[in-house]
Amino acid sequence: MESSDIYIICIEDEAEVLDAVVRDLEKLEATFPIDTATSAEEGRDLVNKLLDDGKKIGLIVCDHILPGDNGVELLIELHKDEKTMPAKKVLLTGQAGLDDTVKALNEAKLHHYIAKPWSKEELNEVAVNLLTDFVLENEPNVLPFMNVLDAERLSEAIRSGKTLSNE
Amino acid sequence: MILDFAKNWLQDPSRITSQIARYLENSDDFDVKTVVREKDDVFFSEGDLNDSVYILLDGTVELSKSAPNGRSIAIDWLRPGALVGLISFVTGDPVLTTAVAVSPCKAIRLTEQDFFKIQNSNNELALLGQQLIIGNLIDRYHHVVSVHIELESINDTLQKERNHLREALKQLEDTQHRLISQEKMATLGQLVAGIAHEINNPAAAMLRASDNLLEYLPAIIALVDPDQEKSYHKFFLIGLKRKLVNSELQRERLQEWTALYPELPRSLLRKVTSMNDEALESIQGILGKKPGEQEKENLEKIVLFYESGYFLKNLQSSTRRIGEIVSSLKSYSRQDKGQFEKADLRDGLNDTLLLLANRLKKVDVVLNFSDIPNVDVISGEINQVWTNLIINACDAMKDRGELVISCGHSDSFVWVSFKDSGPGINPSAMHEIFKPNFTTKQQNSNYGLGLGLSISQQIVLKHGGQIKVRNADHGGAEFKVLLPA
Repeated sequence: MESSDIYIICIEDEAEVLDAVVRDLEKLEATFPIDTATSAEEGRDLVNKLLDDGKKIGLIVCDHILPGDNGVELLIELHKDEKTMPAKKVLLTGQAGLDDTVKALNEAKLHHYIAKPWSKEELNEVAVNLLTDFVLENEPNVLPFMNVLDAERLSEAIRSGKTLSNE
Repeated sequence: MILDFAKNWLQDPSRITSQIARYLENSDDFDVKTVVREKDDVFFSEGDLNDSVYILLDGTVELSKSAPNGRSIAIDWLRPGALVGLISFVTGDPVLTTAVAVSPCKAIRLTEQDFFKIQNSNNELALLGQQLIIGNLIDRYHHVVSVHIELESINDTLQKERNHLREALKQLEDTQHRLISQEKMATLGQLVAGIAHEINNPAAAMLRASDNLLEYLPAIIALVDPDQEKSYHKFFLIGLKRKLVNSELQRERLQEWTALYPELPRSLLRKVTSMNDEALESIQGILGKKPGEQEKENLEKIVLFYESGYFLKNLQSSTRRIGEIVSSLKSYSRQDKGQFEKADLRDGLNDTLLLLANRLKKVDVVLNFSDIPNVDVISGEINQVWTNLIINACDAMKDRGELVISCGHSDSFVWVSFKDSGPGINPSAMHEIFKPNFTTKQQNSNYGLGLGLSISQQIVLKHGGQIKVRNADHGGAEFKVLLPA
């Protein structure tokens, strides 16, 4: 399909790691444009700019330790904003203490937690799953996503009439 | 009122008893017996019923009582002039204490009858009898008072002893904690050194492999593109020298290029736009105005070589980083030696900073290192001091702020100071911070036992130095470690 206006945002301060994340999600980019930021502040600006341009944020993959505000704080903040609340949030972490993880789960409704080093398959599976959730919850027409996302779940939703277009 | 007899009694109790003895011997009305007891002879035992009283003329009698634990404790020693068995005699109750001669004794034994007779006899004898009883009571009372005083001083000594023991116990516990902590550090050091060694070999192999690839890949590329007309080698080198573009700029470029070439996939363009300007220019040349399938394929191949170069560069820089971390770990944990050696303190500081890099991510570390002479230190231990002070600073600043680390020297010492931008030390806690178990940190798995500063101080003292602490003029705490030059 043509590229959608649903974005994947990756936030990570180490360029090599950011590069690896983007590369791992490469297959999804045909449908979900990826954009990147290297700090929480930049990520916040990027999200606002995309929203201003009328784009949607489908998935945010955020590193835990960032210069300035840390990833958990940013995810909490984005979750409190109704515009970014629907976005699926993944915390990428090398060393989260339990406290931070609990905080992220409770306050940012963190959807997934990936420990470094991760595998490409794991990251892709998580992203596909969460984006499937996102389109089911937010897109009236899920048909165009059949090829890239979880086709089984999407067709099940269509068959049972549980998509937004029927509500 | 002063009674002369009472004074006399205190000076010499036997004066009254000998007068009484003389009276009794010379009187026909009395038939009293003077009894003799050898050493260890018993006058009466505790619990007996007693029908007579003895006036002790010679020797010493010990009064003792059995304590609840079964042991016999000495209560008093009676000397000539004393009445033995007076209380049980007059009350009719069982005897309170056992009376035993501790030296050969001579005493007058009086029965109830004799006792009454004395009281009812001529004035002088009755008076002597009364004086004898009062004198005895005075003696007993003196004894009670002195026993109380003795008890008090014993209690006092006991209390001091107890405090002393408590203090000793606390010191023992502190020492134990310290030892455990030192033992842990030593174990950790060995573990770290072992791991560093283990990682070192694969890291070296990786570096060697990537060096070899660096050599072989151009040759392989030459096989594919012998005349360099496809510029594969050129783009391989561009990838190898890729500098990271700031993400804002990269985003702008990507936007620009996606608008320019809407027919090309974004993921391909993302890779292309990470190239330098010169490379981008030649790519535009290759693509032309409206790239078709052929151009797209060409670009994909070029990107393949560009990426190979970039991956190789990544591999090399990452491997080098592992190497640096490993060598820092090794020199940081030089526990294996544990001996004093001449060392440049700045090396240990740099190792420590590298290992704590993750913790210091949001802290601006400012290094004011001036030239300092080498000092005699046990590097592993001194690094532990740096670690403790830096971690404390991070904790105080909640991991955000500025940490200024300076060093310098005078004729007699080399100093290193750590100044943080945290809230400083509460003045009321200032004198306590070096005490073991002092901590401002919440009990939490991340936090220690409050031994950090105590151990650091011990280490520095062992090196003949000292740690000074103060709140800096513009806020924050400053710890200064001085070591003899």
